[in-house]
Amino acid sequence: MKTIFTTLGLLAFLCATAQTTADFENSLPTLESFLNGSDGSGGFSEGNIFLPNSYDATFDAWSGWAISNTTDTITGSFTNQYSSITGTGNDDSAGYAVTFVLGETLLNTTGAAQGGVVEGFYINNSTYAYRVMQDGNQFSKKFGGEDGTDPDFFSVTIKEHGDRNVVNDSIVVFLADYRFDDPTEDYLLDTWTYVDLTRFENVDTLSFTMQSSDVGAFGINTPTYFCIDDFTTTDMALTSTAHIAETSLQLYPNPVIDRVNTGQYNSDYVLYNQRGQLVQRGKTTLAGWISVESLQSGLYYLKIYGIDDQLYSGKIIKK
Amino acid sequence: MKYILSVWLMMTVLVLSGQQDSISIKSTLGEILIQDAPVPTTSLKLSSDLTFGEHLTRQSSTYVRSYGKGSLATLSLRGGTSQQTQLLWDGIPIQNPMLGLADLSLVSSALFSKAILHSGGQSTQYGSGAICGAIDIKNMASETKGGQAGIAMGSFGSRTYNLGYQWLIKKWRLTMSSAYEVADNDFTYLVGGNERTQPNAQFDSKGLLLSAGYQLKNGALKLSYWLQDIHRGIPPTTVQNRSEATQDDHTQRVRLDLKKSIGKGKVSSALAYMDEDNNYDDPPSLIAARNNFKRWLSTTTVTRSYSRTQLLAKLDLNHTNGNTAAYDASQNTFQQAALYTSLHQDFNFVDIKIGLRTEWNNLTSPPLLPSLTINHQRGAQSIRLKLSKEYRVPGLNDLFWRPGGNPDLRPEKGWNQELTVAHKSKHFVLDATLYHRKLEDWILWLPSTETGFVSAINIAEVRSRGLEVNSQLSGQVDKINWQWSTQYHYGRSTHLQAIPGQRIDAGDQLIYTPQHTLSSGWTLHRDQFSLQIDNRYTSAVSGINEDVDGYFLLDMQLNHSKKYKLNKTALTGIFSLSVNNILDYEYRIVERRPMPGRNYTLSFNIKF
Repeated sequence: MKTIFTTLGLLAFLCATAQTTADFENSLPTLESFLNGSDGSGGFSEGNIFLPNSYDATFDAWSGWAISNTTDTITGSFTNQYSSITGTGNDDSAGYAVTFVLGETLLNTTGAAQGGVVEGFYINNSTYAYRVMQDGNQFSKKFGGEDGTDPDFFSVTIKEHGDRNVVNDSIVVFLADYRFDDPTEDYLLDTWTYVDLTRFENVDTLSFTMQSSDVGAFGINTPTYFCIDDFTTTDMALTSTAHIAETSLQLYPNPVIDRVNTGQYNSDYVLYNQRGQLVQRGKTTLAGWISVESLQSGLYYLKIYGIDDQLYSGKIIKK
Repeated sequence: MKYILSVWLMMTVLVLSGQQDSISIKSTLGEILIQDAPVPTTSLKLSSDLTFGEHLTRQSSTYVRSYGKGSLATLSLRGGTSQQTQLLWDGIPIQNPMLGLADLSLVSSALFSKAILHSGGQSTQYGSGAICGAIDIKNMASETKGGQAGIAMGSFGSRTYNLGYQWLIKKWRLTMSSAYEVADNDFTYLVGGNERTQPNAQFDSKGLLLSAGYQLKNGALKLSYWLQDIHRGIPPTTVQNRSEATQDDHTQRVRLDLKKSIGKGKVSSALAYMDEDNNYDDPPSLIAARNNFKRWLSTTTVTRSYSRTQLLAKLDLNHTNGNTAAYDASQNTFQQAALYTSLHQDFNFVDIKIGLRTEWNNLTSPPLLPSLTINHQRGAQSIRLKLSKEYRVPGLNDLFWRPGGNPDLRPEKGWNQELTVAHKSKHFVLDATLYHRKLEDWILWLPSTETGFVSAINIAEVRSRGLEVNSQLSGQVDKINWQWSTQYHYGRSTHLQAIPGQRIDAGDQLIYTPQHTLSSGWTLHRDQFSLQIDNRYTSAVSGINEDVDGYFLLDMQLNHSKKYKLNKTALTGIFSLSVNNILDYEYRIVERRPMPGRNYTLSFNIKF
């Protein structure tokens, strides 16, 4: 009997601490290729994470996330948007994810990882950003400036968005730092570096924003790209903090012109656009209405934390 | 394109069929000028020893943004952008319709004899892009046959060759002007106390202008062809390790002009075709951009004069195709028809001109453009008031470039007001203009979280106001003829609202728009010698990334002319020595782009 309890205890422990790693190795059938959302998928599911993507077919332009195994470590221009500076993923693997951050890029935990602990991931510069910071181009400066002494930096701020989209914590990772008193310590990140996120305990969503010292009148000049790999989440399926199941909302009218009824009264809600960006948040009215008058036409994702502590979700089409 | 040819041919037939009238004025080939409103203009003399942009900055208060000879050179007049001043080739717009602006480096100043600067709102007369003014380059006809040749050598491997000739054969006038300019442009500059040499800044430029004119009864017919080629390196910025980028521009323009006087009326008609390539290559970045546009233009002006009244009607037609991989092939055409009419009434001490421009195009909804000019002159003094509506149609890139082009853009538009007082006597000329302009739907390219990329949007409102003063004084002391001229501009062009998400607040001056520009020049002339001393001051400007300090430049040119006789041909030789930036001032016009220090040019020109 003692053996049985010991075994059950061990199994429970293993289940509670199981990890899933998104390694981006199986998405791409051929080398030197990438997925930039041109199939209209709106994002990529890997392991227990979802990486939103926005692709504009009219302009063949994308933002959010892409999956890549391109290997160009030399070309420092927008013609080489999908390569990491090592030309590989972490640990010389082929695949990795690249993001082009326009304002904010999001990453959602899914399935058993939703609402749980994120272990961490590996991060590296893209070739494009690295070479531009190293050599400069017609629009962006080489880091260090004219005489090499400018205190330049390029960083990513990662924020933890937990239950009800509250920002609990944040971490800043420097992809380049030229602010040291000893200039020999100045660096451009060119190796895959682990980012420990275990202090983020209840992650629904991570947001990534970028900062640079090279800022002009119209925003950041440094190309706002970086790469990630081996993103590891903790499987919370058998733990006491298991994720709350989502229930589909009955929304009307839908498509909607100015306001939509959710059937959920006086409840916190968040609205995301197709790129996974938070566009609106608030409380539903006492009659369950949400005003969407200020939104542009398009598809939006709605999450409501009901007064019954249930999580509800649905899609809204704004006309 | 067909409709442009049809309308132009119809107008030509109408004009030619009216030749029976005898006229009292003497017409010369290509020189029947149709005088429009009494607007303040500055006449700039052009020559091969300076770039077109340098001529503009030395002889007017315009601000030209460039980073040395051969570089892209764009213009700001009265606090506007480079897209808001129209560049004309004898009345025909030659701005790049894709960019919506003119690169002044694509005009070889050796090919033209003068430029007329029309300051202030000119949209009613010249159409889109003349919000702040228009510059009209011309080759003024000479009444004698002959030619000139020149050679110049200067600092940084600069060499210039030019050759021109005019033949007069019975009723024919044939002219040829050519220019070839090449430079290494490898000047040195200081950064943090260290000397650096500018790499990849070489350029070579070729220009050829041919024309064949035929004198008609009371008029003239002229066919002109203008070829301009420039190949240039794009040097690295001061915060860039290297650059292998190059730009090639190849432009061909051909036009057919017909000018006729019929009784008390005059007709001027031109049909033009332009084919222009702009290619940018940056091998390390794997960028090879190919841009081309083809444009048909026609403009026909008819004036009819009565005793104190002049009526004018002008029809402009435009068909433009832009071609680049960044356009959708189904969305690359701009078609336009515009009718400008004016009534100019001369009363005793006041003359009044009312103008109206109506335009149709396939891309935007241009506003109706009225203008009113009231001019009062008494003796040497005059005062002029002008009110006008101004506008600019977005460039093809603003509309169609993928990604970011926005086919829903509206034209920039607004009202312009000007008040000019002037005094003109034999040895003293002075004019001062106060202006005010407010434009809405100003177009900016900004990162957009909605679209996911940098996009063109009508977002800004800009108010411009300022003072422009031009003066000229001349006289004689002993045998020395002297002339002093000065041009000053004070301007504030400010955003009326903050631009969300950008580092632009309400009240901020536009980038690359100096508040003060001052240029003045002394000319001293005695016997065969002349000395020209120019100085320029430009106040600090905001750049995209950092402020650019103001600068003061002093230049000098010493000329010596001598007459020779070879067989029976009279020759005039002119030796010139130019010293530019005499004070060796370290300055920049564009942020992160150094300018050359003191430099020299020695030239010899001969007229025969």
